Amino acid sequence: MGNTKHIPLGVGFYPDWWYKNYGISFGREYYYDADYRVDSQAKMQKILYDRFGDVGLGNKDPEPKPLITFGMAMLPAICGCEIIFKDDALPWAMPLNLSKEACDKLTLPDLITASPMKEMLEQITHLKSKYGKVVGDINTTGVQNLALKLRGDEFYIDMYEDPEFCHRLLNLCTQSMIALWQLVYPLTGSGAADVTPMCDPSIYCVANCTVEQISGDTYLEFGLPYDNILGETLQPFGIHHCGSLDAVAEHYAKVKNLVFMEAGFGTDFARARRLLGPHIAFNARISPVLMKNGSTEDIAAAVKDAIDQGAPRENYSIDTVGLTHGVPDENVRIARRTVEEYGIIS
Amino acid sequence: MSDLEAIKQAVIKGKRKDIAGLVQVAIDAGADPQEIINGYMIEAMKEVGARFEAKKIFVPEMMIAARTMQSGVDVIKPLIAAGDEIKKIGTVVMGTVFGDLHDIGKNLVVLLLESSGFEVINIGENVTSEDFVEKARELKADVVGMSSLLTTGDPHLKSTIEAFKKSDLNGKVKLVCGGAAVTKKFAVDECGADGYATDAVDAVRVMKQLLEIAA
Ligand code: B12
Repeated sequence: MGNTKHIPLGVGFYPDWWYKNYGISFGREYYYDADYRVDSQAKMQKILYDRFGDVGLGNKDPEPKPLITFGMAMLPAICGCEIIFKDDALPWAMPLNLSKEACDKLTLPDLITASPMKEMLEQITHLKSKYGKVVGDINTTGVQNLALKLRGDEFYIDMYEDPEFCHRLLNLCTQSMIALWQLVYPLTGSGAADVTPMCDPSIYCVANCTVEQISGDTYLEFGLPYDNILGETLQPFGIHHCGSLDAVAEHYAKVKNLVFMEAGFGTDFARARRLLGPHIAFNARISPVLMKNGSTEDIAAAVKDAIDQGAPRENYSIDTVGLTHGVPDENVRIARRTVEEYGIIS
Repeated sequence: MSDLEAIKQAVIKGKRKDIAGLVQVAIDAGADPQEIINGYMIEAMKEVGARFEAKKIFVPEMMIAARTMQSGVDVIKPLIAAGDEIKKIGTVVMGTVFGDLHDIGKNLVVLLLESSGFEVINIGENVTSEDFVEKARELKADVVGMSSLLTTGDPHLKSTIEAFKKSDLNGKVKLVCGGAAVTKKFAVDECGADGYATDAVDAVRVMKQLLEIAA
């Protein structure tokens, strides 16, 4: 099998898996202490190798990986959201629930002096002097994601009652994201790693997690214009879409310079791929809920189904991330083996 | 379109700014305030729920419809004679389980339950099993709704249900679970919850069924 080319299948474990199994913490230290993070990354690679080396995961002798990351919380933190760090979870930004007036007073942040970007830049300097390079990037989060963190769920009411306000806020979010990318990309050459490992890191990938909550029409009015600004300014462009793509797939096909699309479980992958076209690299996600609760037969069937839906097989990948404590090892193995055996690219 | 039908349509379409005026017109024309709520607004929200379930509308549409209904109810409330308050069909305590901060899905369930006549107390996210039990006792809940979107919530869902079973509330409060991480098999068969629902419409259906309230 070794040299046969097959559809790649990525696996990502959630912090509680690392913490409960191996005591590796994803608390504040992981994000603020670069040496702790590099050390943890090496440990994690070795652990993966020991546990899942038989299915090609991990690394026996990992090189130090001078990685930067801040979850999806950098811009919310800069804007004043409280960030909750936990040993066994990804960081979470508490929504600010600002009034419309307060939102309108927001200005483009000065990223170089704003905390925690200031500390992140210090980490970058440190890693560069120690290892000669930095890898990874800072997830800019998505335009609507950020607007919701600032205004709260009330933003959905504003879409009906004050669309001009929404556009002002979305525009500010977009400009803040561009500024963050323009600061980080020249330092690391990476713009997607902090969002998804399945995207070519040299492109810019945006995290459109909350777009799952809106209709195609709403996306046309409040999403597409801003994704197009991002796609034009930071091309080539990729989109991570957390949940089902079905309501918005045809509109994503209109995004400028789009070269990568990631779709969450529940998506009709075949339809989405058809609408987007085979030139757009496509990553299909297998449900972490199924990975935890399903049998090996269920997992093999889900992976086969994702493979069948993905035609053509070039430019197509599958992954399953957010695997939490309690996911059976055999489910991980069967997922990897199924692509090796069933996902051959002829 | 009749005055009352216009109210129903305003709720469905989320015309929050128009609703107070429409309700006033209907009342001035002699409509029964209770009937406006039960016969038209709740009916409107049922239709909104069905559209949401069918993925014809999404989160913002559901939120604005519920808000519109609320604005209409605010006009009607003072007109309902004391002792003849809007009847609540049951009390529900709703929260997201410990470690989980997803809230939109739970909040939608809250909105639909409220607009279906339930008294709902939203106790927020990241709720410990102790807090679930304590709040249920304090607020004399008929039903406790637990939302879980992360599979890390599985042990917390389980321990919360166990905490209820061990408490004085065992058998007195119905326990209903939902959210993307939960399956019926896990919640009901493995943990012993009384019910599971796939979405907000289903949640109303299941809770009504458990409390033996006609649909
Ligand atoms: C939008 C979203 C977010 C938003 C949350 C916004 C918010 N304020 O809630 C943001 C971007 C902030 C977010 C953050 C995170 N998320 Co998230 N998120 C989603 C997503 C795409 C959609 C959820 C949603 O809002 N759906 C729309 C609503 C209307 O539907 P719903 O929530 O399912 O609710 C309905 C029903 O389930 C039901 N229901 C819900 N609750 C209840 C309760 C009762 C009692 C009943 C009866 C019914 C019921 O009725 C609701 C209405 O119809 C899901 C994917 C998915 N398919 O679910 C991932 C998902 C849940 N998230 C995931 C993850 C990993 C995270 C993060 C850890 C990611 C991160 N990088 O930080 C954090 C969570 C941190 C934490 N500690 O909680 C994973 C979970 C993986 C796992 N192993 O379980 C998912 C599955 C995505 C994935 N990777 O595949 N997320």
